[in-house]
Amino acid sequence: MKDGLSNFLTALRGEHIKIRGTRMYLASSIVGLLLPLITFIYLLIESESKEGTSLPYNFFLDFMEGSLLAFGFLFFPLLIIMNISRSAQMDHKNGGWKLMEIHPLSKLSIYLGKLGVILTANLLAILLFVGSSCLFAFILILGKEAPEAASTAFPAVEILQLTSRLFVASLYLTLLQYALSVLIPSFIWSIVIGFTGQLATFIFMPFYPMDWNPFQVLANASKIDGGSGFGIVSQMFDLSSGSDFGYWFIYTDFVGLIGAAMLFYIGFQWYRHKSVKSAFFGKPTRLIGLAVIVLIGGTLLGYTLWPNQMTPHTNTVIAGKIESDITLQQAHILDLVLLDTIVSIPIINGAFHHKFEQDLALNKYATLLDNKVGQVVFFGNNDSTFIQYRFFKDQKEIMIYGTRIAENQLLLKESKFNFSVSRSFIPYHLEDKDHLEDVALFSEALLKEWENKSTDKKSFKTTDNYVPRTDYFDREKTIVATTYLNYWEKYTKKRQLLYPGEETVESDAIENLRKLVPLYDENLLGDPEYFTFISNQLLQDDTAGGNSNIELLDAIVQLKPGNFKDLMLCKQISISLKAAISPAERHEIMEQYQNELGDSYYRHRVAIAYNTIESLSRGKESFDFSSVDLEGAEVNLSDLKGKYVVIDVWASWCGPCKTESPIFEKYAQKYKNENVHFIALSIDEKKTNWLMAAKEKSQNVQHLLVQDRSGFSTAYHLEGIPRFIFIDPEGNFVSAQLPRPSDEAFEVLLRKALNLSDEA
Amino acid sequence: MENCIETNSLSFQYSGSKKVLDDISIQVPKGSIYGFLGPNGAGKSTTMGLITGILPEQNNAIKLFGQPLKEQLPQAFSRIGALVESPALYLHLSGYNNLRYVAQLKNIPEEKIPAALELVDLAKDGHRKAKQYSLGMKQRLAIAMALLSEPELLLLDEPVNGLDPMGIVEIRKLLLKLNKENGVTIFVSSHLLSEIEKMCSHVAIIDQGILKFEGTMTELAGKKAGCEVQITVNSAKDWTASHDKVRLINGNQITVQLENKEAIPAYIRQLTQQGADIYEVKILDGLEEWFMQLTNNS
Repeated sequence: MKDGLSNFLTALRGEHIKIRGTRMYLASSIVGLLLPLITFIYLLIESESKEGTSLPYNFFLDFMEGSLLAFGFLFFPLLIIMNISRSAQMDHKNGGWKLMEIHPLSKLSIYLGKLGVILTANLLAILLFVGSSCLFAFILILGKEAPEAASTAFPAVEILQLTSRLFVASLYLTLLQYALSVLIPSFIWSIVIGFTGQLATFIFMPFYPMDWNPFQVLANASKIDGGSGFGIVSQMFDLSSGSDFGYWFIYTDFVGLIGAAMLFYIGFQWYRHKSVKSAFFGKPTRLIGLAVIVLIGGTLLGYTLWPNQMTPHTNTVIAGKIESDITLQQAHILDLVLLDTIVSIPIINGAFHHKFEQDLALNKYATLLDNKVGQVVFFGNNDSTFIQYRFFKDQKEIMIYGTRIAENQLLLKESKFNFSVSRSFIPYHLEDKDHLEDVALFSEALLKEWENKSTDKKSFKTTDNYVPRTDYFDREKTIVATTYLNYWEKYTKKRQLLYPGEETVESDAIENLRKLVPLYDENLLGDPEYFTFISNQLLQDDTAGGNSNIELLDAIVQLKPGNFKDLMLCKQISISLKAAISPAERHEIMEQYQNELGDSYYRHRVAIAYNTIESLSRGKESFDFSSVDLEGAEVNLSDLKGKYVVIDVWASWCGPCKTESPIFEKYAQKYKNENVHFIALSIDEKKTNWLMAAKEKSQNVQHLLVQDRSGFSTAYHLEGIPRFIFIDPEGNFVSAQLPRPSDEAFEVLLRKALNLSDEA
Repeated sequence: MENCIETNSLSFQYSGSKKVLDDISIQVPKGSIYGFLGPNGAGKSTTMGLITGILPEQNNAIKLFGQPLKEQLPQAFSRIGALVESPALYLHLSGYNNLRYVAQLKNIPEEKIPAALELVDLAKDGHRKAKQYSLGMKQRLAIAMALLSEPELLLLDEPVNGLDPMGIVEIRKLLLKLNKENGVTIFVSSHLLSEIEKMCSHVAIIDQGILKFEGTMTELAGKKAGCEVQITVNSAKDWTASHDKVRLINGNQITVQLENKEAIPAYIRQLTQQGADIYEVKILDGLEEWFMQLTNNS
């Protein structure tokens, strides 16, 4: 064993002689080339190019994005399993192990020699995949024009990182399968075990992320940032790969390395001494060796797998960086109860930064850039939060970093996929007779789902193995509990209706659930479920039918004076005002309840809300604004008096507007002979963006670009677009918040105003 | 060094079961052709396996080239060529490539391969895949693989297994030549007595794990005393009393143990005078007899 290295090279070269005719390297090449080739052909044939509206991305990385996961999770593991089984079988079948052992080769060289061939095959597959993807992408760039948003710069660093990560991550699976195949003489069994492992991982992966699993480790490395995110695959799976902290390798890669090292030791010792007993228990030194490896390896694994938590920051800071084609002025931080602005931060050179002097409760807050881009963010005292915005036209991508990185990623994930919401069966149970009759059955289902939801959240980890802190979980526990208690409330009410006189007994478990929810926590008021919950509590003894909004107001008034009461009352007053039908009703509400508010701030607040609504109420005079049409001529709203005016407020970067506008235009066509004028009013910043987008739309409507965007926005209380405004021939509001054209009510109101009979 | 291989009270057993080898002590002198003889299941392959290190040695009983075995493996294999149990070949490779593999492992230049193929008469079939070879061809290829490095010591386990008579003769001639011209020590195990007799200089006989005999061929020859003759005659049982050392084989065959060859004519005359019809007189291989006796007695 003295000339270890030359011995190894001898064995390696010997292995290469042996694999002649087995087409092992050919198989690796095919697996590497297959998916890029398919992608290439598909993209060649596909005639419609991707719409130009997207975030900037890299063409090369985008080419690989979708097929990479299929490579790393399906084809590449299959290749590894097949190659290793084949290579081992070659010697099992022909007495090859014996043959090698009567030659001047150390067992280590023999073991390593074969492994060397396998690793070469792995590397070949990876390089061909990456290389051919780049080549095909390059051909596409030359042949067809790349979409506007795509960068054609060659991403050398990302490619190097991907290649290295794929190779390192594949070591774990390779060494596991290798150890198995060398020990199991049967070709079939070693393949079966490999495949079963892969299948099992595939089945359980969505439910139990197994970051110790070799297939999972490889799949985690088969992701790339920098693609367009358009493909089906990227819509279905979370493909963000890299470390949020900029490390080259992520923790699962290290798990893979440690696992690979341990498997190498165990596999080799077992092969060398031919039986488990002899290998590890034959001599004390061997047992010690095993113990040491297991101990060190186990500790390292435990350390790597153990989730990290962020530590609090000295100050409370929020900052952001914006990548966009429009310039923004301000970043607003709002509380979610009343949507009050806590602070407005100026945006300088696409970035903002603010240190909070006041106490901030741990809560969800809304961040709003001008009035264009909003995002809910979770943070509190001693948290440092950094938000990275990217948006172009109507595509947006937001990433949140900082001391609450895990909490916010979980938040984003839940909002994106909405699985947690859609996976609830309780709404079905509420309609189901069996469940309505059997209280115990329903209770059980309710509690089980609540528990599952809580555990789901707990299993979340960021790509760097960070998990949310305990205070987040406590809060979430409460919110989730309120959601389910609200379901319970619905259930009880329903049963009261269906089976009057029958009692609905609350089990102990449900009572325990109640105990989790604090009754007067103002920090939770921003959450709609909690608000509903408190409302339900307050309306417990309500028996009479009546206007629940007013009843709720009355109930809130009964609360002990304080900030909680004020907050809730203020919010409920706003809700009631919006829901009110007539100015008289609104006036009544203000009379009755404004003075119940303890703090003058809140009294002022409801006054503003009242005034805003009043100013936009039916019959009030609309605010004149000036705009330009497609030719550049000036058009004022007042110029359009004499006809009814319906306005579609939109912008070229607004996604939902694209759904509504065609319907709006259809009505414009339908009613073009009536006494009504349809206008599409854009609030685009850039005239060129507007011109380009407007020219593509129907000319049944008059296209105008508003001049004083902020003035218009304030006057019309523009909280979002698309927004529809209906004005009568005298210039007064019919409705300042017309239902959307996709709503049936739109046409109904239109016809009513135009004195047209209802259609059959 | 005197002995190429030396074992000292070598024993071996698989866990729990009875001993496969019990206290075997042999010495294989350098330059000898040493035959290891025994019936099937005697422990020949096990011994071979222990000497090559395929089976793990259970006590430090084996010395190779004068040094303990354990310290020398696997490097000692650069001086050893072996063929253990069934030939280990890669069936999906050609004969030539199998030899290339061995050449690579033992660091032998590829130019020597055609000569090795020639030596075992596989030159014409070298480029065919091993799976297409007959049993005899496979055996010959395996021998070529063992010989390729021109080793000092050859370990051959049943090398003529599956060969036709001409093949057997060829291999025998080859081994004798190697031994005489190159001084290669050859350790051969077989259950074919005739082969051992024709080829070996030394022999050890093993049966059920116990060593029955070890020594040179001359010593072995000395063991057999007298001359055994087999006579095919009519009505054999009538003649069992003709001599005190007569044995009845079957209805028309008897064997008789005479002092030496010279006593044959007299005995035949005696039988014919007594009225026997003689059909065949054959001198039996004394060694075989003695071997059967030896192994049957246990």
